[in-house]
Amino acid sequence: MSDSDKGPAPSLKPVTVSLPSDVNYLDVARNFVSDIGHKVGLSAAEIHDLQLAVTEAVTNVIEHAYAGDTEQRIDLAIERDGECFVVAITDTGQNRFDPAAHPDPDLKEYLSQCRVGGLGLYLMRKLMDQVEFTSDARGVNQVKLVKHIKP
Amino acid sequence: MALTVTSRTLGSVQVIDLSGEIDAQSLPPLEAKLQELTEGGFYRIVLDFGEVPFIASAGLGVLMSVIGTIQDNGGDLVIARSQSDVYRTFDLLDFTTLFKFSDTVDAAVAVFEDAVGVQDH
Repeated sequence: MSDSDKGPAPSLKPVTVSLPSDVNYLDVARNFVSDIGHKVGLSAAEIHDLQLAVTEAVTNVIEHAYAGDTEQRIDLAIERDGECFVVAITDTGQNRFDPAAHPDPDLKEYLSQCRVGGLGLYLMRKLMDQVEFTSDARGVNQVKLVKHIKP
Repeated sequence: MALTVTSRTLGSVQVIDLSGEIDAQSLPPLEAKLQELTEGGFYRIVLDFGEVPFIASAGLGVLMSVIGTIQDNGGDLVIARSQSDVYRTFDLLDFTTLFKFSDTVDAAVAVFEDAVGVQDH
C-alpha cells in the first residue's frame, strides 16, 4: 500500500495500564508503548523514541519519586490527540520532581568528568516534542510526553 | 527481556557479547562483567552490541563508570555492531565522542592491534 492509499491516521481511544513501581516492569512499559504505537501506525523510529522516553520517565519515578519502594503503582495512559501521541505517566510518590532544578547538562563537561546518571530528563527532552511535569494538591504527580506524529 | 552477557578472549582483547535490552533492570550482569575484567587487569575491551536492540541511559551510565579507569590504564572500550536505534541513543548524549565504534568485532579488535603496532615501533 502506498502512502497515498493510507487514508486518515487511525484514531485511538485512551488506553491505560497500571504497573508496579519496579524496574522489573520496564520492559512491560516498553511493550505497551510498542503495541499501541503499532496499532496507530507509528514508524519504528517513533516507537523507539517513545519507548526510550517512557523507560527514562518510569525509571525516574521508581528511583526518585518512590525512592526505590517497589510496592507502589505507576499508571501509564496513552492517547492520540490529532497529530500528537501522548503518554502520561502518573505516580503518587512523595518526592515531587522539579524540572526547573534540572537544567540540561553541559555534555562536554559531563563527559570530560565521566559523570554518571542524571541524563534521563535530558534524553526525554531531546526525544519528545514536549515534556510536562505537574503535581496536584492530592499528591498526584504526572509527566506528560508528547510526540508529534508525522502524517 | 533479560540481558545475556558472556565474554571471550581474542588475542589481547576481551570481547563481551551482549544479547537483550539494557535498562536499569537488566544491566547488573554487564556491570559485573566490566568490574570483573577491570579488576582482573583487562583494559582492552570490545562490546558486541549486535544483539542489543535497546539501551537506556542507565546502561550508558555503566559504561561511563568504567571508561575512566580503562583509559587511565592505557586501554579502551570499543563498541561493535551497534544497531541504528542504539547508536542514536549514544549520539543524542554525545557519547559517540567518548567511545569508539566499529561495524564488526574484528574491526573493533583491530583498533587495539593497531595500537599495539604503533607502540612497538
